[in-house]
Amino acid sequence: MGGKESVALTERAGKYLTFQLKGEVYGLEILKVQEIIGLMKVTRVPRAPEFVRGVINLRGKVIPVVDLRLKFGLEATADTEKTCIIVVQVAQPAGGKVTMGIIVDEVSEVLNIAGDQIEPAPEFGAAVDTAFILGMGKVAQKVVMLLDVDKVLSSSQVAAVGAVAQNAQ
Amino acid sequence: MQPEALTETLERLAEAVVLADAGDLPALAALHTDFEKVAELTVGSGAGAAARAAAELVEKLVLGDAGEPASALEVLGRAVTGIRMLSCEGRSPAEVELPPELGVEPVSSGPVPGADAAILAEFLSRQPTVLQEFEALALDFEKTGSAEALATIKRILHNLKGEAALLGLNDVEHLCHRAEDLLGNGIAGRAADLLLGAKDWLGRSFAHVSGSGPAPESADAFLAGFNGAKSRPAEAEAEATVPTGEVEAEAGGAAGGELRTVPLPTGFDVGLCSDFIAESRDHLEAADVHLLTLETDPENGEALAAVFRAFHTIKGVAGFLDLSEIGRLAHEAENLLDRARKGELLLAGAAMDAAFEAGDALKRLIGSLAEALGQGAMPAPDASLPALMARIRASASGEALGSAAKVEAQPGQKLGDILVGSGAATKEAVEAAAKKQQEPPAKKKLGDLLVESAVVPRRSVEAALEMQTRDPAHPKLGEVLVSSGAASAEDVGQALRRQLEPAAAPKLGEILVREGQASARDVAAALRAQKGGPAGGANAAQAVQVKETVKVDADRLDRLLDTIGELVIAESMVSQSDELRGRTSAELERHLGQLDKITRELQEMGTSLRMVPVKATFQKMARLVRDVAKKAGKQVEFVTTGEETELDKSVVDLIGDPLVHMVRNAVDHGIEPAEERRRLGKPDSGRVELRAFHKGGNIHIEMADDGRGLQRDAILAKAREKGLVKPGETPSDHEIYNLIFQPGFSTAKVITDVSGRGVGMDVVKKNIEALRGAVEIQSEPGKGTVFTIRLPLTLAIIDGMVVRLGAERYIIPTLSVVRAVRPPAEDVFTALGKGEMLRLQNELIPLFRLDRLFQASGSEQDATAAVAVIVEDEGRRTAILTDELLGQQQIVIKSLGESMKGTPGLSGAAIMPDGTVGLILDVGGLVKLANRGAAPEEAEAAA
Repeated sequence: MGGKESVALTERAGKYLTFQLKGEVYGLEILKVQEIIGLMKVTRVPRAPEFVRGVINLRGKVIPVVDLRLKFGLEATADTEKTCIIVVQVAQPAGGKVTMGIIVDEVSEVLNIAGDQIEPAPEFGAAVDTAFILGMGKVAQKVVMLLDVDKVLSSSQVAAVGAVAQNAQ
Repeated sequence: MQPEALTETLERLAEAVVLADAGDLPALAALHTDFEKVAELTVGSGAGAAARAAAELVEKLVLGDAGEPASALEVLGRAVTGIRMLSCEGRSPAEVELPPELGVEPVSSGPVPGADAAILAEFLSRQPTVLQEFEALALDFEKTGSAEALATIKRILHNLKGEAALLGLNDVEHLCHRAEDLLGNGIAGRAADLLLGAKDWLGRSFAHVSGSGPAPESADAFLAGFNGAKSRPAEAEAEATVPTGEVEAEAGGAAGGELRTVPLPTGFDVGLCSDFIAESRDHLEAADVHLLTLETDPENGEALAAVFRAFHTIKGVAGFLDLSEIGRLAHEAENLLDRARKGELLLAGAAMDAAFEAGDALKRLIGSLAEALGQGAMPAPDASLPALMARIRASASGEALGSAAKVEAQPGQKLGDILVGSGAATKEAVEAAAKKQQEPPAKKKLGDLLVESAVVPRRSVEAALEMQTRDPAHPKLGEVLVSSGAASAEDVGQALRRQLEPAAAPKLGEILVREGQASARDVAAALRAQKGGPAGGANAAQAVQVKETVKVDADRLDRLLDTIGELVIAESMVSQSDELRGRTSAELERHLGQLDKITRELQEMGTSLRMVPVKATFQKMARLVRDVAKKAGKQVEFVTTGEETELDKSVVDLIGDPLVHMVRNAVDHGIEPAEERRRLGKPDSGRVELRAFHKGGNIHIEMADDGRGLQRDAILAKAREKGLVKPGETPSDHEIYNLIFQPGFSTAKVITDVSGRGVGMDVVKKNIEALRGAVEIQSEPGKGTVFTIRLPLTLAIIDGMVVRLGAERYIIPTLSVVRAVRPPAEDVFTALGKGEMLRLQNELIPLFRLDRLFQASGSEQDATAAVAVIVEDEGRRTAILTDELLGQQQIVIKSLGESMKGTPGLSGAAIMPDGTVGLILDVGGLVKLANRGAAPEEAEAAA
């Protein structure tokens, strides 16, 4: 890897909100996170992709909620007391921001990750799409997968609703 | 100060102006001081404004910015005369003509600096209503010739004149005055044209004064169309040109066939050209606005690009139409802007002036083109163009760009002072440069110009010159000529303007740069600082705010409505909570009642905030009908009812465009020409009616005409040809008429009978559907067509029917619900094993199961135990099977959000009383979904 890559990685240093999905630790740039709310009743949206659990009323605003387990292809589990929704601001490719919620198993802590603690995402081959991983943070014996939330939740994916649902039919 | 002081100063000024030499700096400085003194003495009146403008002109003269010094002095001379008449002889502003050249831009129509801004704002805020009334009266007068209407019009004009004079809106005052005169002289046939044109002009002028639009042409230029030649078409007419082949032919017919025999180049497309004229005017107007932006922010890339585009487009189309003059000028302007766009040139100072001038000249050329076309000819070449183009070219290759040095200056300060102040040049250098400007540039005398243009014989000029020297009051040559009847004020005015045009004096900044006394960058920066906002003048005029209404961002209003909607929900949650019900306290009861009342009131107020009557929109249509009918040579009577019906503001705004299309089509193509109508036994005059009314919780807007109606067979044939209707299908009339809403469906050339009935109709439908409305057509051949637009009362709140589906709830807009039934077993059929049908009063309608469409689980599968909601979309009925009706509810519509909108079958979301989200069904989308989904579903079921 060239010097360019490491420069880019250093730029990714900063504070990350970490959370767990099936025992794995993930991190979100703290600047993208708006708030963390407890799980509430989610209204299912018909014909939406499976990983879109539905929409919620966030103080009068209707926002979509994505089940991150399903999005990452992990098996679904029953919600627990620790299950919560992280509300994030997702930048749109066309400009502008969209507020979305993501459902995670539990929220851990905010970590300060330095540039030299970040390594590029490894190549897992075609089986795993690593495009939305910013890098791997190594903090105190733990490995945190730093997510590029804009890519994970690009709204075109969430909105590919009709098409997906129809093809599934 | 004493009046004597004023008289004395004015006398000194009059003398000094006559004796002044453009090169004599001390004399000019004295002039400047005196004008400023006069301005101070007469502040708050028309004279004060003129004196202030004159002082500015002197300043320009000193800087070499004033074009021809001799004519500038001449203007000053007339200004002094005017000021004297105003302030010493106590004449009313209506009697005194101040030189229009006083302003750089038509500042003369700006308000008096120091005039009470509050009064002006109050005046401006009243004008839209006044003008609306004015237009209505003018149309009424044209139709009925009512003397009463004319009297009211005259009164309005008279009032306007008085108020404009008081506020120093000289041009407005002038126009009203002249319009009064013309009406008095009985120009009967053209009165309506004049009045409507005047209304438009006044509208533009007021917009300009309140800072929201470019300056209109001068009142004189506007009036010129009404003075002499009666055959000259009003400008309003040229603007209203509808560029379609049919109209063109009819217009030609109306003009007695003359249009085709005149020396237009062969193959010249008048229709295209009128299109071009209208478009170019829009472009130029937009360019003006952007140029104004650039004046304060010369590096604004967006504005630069916009101006460039405007000129570029004009150039392109002019080239195509072979309008070489316009094309060449636009080309020069485009070059100038191109350099500015590429950062090779800072659009300020001379370059800026050149850009403005180019815009104005283009407007003039296009104006004369429109006028000439009206007479069936091409305009003669404009003599002033080569000079102007040379100037534009010079400025395009002129000042080099530099990122401007920081210069602090009072706006309106002299360039030299700014440069000295910022240390960019020494005082000596500036003075020397100012001296260099003195070399008197070649100029043409007014008399020579008049003789040259064959307006006045040389003899008269000589006689006038002699009279001028004898008269102790030193009247100006132009005045002498006018008063002796040798030339009209208009001709002299024109000559004076021409005299002003070729600017030969080098600019102070240019001299400094050439001699290396200051860098181009500093000069540009200084010019910019100077332009920042001259004391008084145009910018001050534009700073006036119209206060009557508070403009609120529509988003904020929506948010307010949303919040009110939530308050309503929260209120009902509290007052209906079981815990509170248990407590029987009279006091609590009373308080809750109070809370409930306030909440309802707030909700009503919130809703009414957005409601406005459709009257203004209808009135615009009245004007459109008149203009299109006139152009097409048809007689059309236009009737409106229900103008006071209120609609949501955003709906009113958006309904205008579709209505324009529909009304234009009706007049243009629906209504037959008078001869044809007579042959059919109809009255000569066609009738277009616009009605607005409430019906079933919706607003209906109907547009009816009594023209030829839609040609059902022709549309069907065309649809078959296009493959929109498959062979063997026999669509209903309703479906056939709806075909005209297909994009690009009807073109005049293909179906002559329906000629253009579909032009823009797809847009009509799209716009109306975007408003959650619907449009329907009824038509009877030979009898006419009725378009019915159905619109929701407001966009933010709808009545919804809440239905249950398993554990889920959905909302169906009550608007689309026809009824709900629990289907008896004998009325549910399966057709060909393909789909379910429901028999409803001997009508078979498709039945869809919502749970299958929405892949929901846990819902009732037995149709006879479920509830079928019959919905209607585009006239087609469909039954949707749900579990239960939960009741009606007013709901505040929320967007599903960027990422979820467009989900098939859903149109939005709403917050339910329990705080969760409910989804609103999109009935039209659902039916489409059902039709698409039906086949695979059945296949699945069969498997």
